[in-house]
Amino acid sequence: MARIVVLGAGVSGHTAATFAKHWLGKKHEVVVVSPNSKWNWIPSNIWVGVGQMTPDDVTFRLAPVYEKAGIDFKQAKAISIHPEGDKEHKKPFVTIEYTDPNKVGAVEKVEYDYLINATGPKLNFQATPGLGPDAGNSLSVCTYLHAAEANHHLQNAIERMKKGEKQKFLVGTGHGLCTCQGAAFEYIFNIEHELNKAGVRDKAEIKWISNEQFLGDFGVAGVHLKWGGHIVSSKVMMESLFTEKGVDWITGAHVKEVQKGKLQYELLDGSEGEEDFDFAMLIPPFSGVGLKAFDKEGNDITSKVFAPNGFMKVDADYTQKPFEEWKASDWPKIYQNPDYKNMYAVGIAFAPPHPISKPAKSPNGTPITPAPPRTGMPSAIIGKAVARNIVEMIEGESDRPRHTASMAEMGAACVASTGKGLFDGSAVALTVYPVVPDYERYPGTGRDPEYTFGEVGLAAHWIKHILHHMFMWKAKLRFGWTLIPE
Amino acid sequence: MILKYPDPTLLQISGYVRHFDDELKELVNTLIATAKEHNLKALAAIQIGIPKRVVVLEKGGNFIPLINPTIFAHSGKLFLSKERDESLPNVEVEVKRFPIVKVMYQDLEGKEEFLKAQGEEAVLLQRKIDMVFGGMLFDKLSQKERKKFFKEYGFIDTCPTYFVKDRILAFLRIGLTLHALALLLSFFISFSLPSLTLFLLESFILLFYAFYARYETKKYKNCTSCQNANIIGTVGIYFAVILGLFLLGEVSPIFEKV
Ligand SMILES: Cc1cc2nc3c(=O)[nH]c(=O)nc-3n(C[C@H](O)[C@H](O)[C@H](O)COP(=O)(O)OP(=O)(O)OC[C@H]3O[C@@H](n4cnc5c(N)ncnc54)[C@H](O)[C@@H]3O)c2cc1C
Repeated sequence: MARIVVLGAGVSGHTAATFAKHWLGKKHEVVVVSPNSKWNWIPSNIWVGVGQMTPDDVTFRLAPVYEKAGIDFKQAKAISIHPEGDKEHKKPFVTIEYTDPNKVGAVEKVEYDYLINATGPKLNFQATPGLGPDAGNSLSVCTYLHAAEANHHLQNAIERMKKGEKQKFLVGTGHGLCTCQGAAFEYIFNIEHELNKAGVRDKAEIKWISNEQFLGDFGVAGVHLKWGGHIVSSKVMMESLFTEKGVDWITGAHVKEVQKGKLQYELLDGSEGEEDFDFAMLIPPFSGVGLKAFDKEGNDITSKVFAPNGFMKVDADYTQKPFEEWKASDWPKIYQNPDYKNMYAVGIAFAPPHPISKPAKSPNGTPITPAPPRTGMPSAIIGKAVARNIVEMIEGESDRPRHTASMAEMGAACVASTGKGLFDGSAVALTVYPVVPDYERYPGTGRDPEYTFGEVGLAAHWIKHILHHMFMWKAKLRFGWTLIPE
Repeated sequence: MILKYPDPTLLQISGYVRHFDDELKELVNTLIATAKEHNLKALAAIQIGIPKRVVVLEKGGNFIPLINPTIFAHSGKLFLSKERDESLPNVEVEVKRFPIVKVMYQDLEGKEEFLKAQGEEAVLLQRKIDMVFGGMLFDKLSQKERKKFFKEYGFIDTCPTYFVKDRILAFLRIGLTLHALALLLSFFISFSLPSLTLFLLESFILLFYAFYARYETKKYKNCTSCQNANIIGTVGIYFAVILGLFLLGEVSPIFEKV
């Protein structure tokens, strides 16, 4: 009997664990280690952040779902990986510490035949002094609890505006190396929508601040959309949208420090600025969750297994090279650790070889470049491909991973609503193929213009709602879940 | 030669310059010569048919090349600027622009440089850099103004974004509109609609749409879930309309009696 241990029950880990168990059946064991008792459909946190959904709408308890599926769930956080075992353990294992209220603090060593690291990001608020809900100066929507808190502040601000006060909203990224601009983008326009609904839009100043080199970069050097009969970059469309909605923007900004009601930033040209606010939602930069690794003798091999940012090294080309030499083939295909072949990293947990957007530094040497996003769809596709490979190897169908899921061969679509309407809803689909530009296959933008199409026909908010229910259904492993695509 | 709308080449998104070589220098020289020849203060490479992120700008009598330019900052209040462009001859369009912009670019050696522009130069750079990203003057107009613009100056569609599934839906939409009109007419002129037959026929077309759309979207490695959600949502909404028409058709004879 083989045992797969999955660290993390987020989008990628949950997908990998559930599919692996589904394919393996009772013959083999799947163990999930994750510190939270609940699963969270993170994209819908945006709606929690504006009071359109409650935390209960976007979460469910994992234990009953895993029990039904026959997956062994340990509510604990992984602390270290021992890919060679140690003196007492011949087999590789992970050390975990329980967060389960019944066993809190208890430490256990869990042996594995295959390990999938799907621990996602650490929300690294510490990277910017004063950033984040704990410091109390800015808000976040990255977890459902953060989002609920953001909504509380939003409702307070609305009440104030109803009494005639003016409020300034600042939304975007809180550091020069952030990713996830898409989430902040959705949030800023959801706020705008809510303020309109509440009849207080005229009392609000709304401003975007981000580390993108241009509005609409989204950490992927821009996406494409159809606009007036031809393809334009998201830059053109975003500028029009922001202008139309009366939302001003600051781009190319590294937020240096956040204080009560104000923040300081440095721009790409090294100049500095200050912005005050009544309400700020700033996405933090991400890093790895801080797992350690040790060899058989107990020597620390963390820097061998993990990249300096804490994400796990996989089959990518990590050679430092300039933008001019970046290649699609630098990106991983099977997400296997190069030193320990039974160890994989999926979703946000794998170390990307380099950014996707063109890198830039201010003259002071401050890097201001969006980190590459690994959104829900690629995370789930990668999780499933890795699970498939492991299952095939366990069942003897193959002696090596056969299924690939390179982000340089994957498209992405983001649906943005710019107006409502059943039959003529003006929504746009921002699409790119591939997510990681392939400058060899598609000289120029690195993207295939033929693949840029608008998957719309229905107002975008409808699609988003349907997606929410589809993914919650799938994650709860309800009838037909395997048929719902990633 | 400067390309003019509706030349489809103009409507592409230019790619990053990744190699700072002789070919780039040659392109910049051609651009400068063309700009001088046409008495222009700035010119983007796409305007001479080269989809690369290069703009040349006249500054103090000399032209400087801006490689991979982006506008990363702006200041001042948006104002309405009346603009013309050599690639859109005989057209004057009113667009919103910032009075001051900061541009980041690379020089011919690939070194990062910055430029602050104001007034006319700022407006010019905003227009040229838009073109680098595939944006023409008319893209800056509101939907209504854009429609008017295309009516006057012609419209070309260079984007291969049409699916057969959308055509099936368009066909169904026409059918449903005719059905609704006929239903309305039946309130005034006495004739009976084959309600059940129409209901079955429309439902069949919708079902066909769903299967075909699934087949068609499967051909693309894009966001499958978004595509599925779109199909499910579309089918849901259209079925509600089909059912509504059917039920109305069923109750209309009762109204007549009343
Ligand atoms: C506000 C917001 C909106 C978003 N909207 C979208 C969207 O619309 N579309 C889209 O595609 N993507 C969206 N994303 C991105 C998407 O949520 C992520 O891409 C996705 O969650 C990444 O999946 P993951 O499995 O790598 O990480 P996560 O989903 O973050 O999961 C990580 C898991 O690891 C667990 N963990 C952490 N530390 C440990 C440890 N030490 N040991 C064990 N387990 C651990 C965590 O508890 C969690 O269960 C959004 C993100 C945010 C923040």
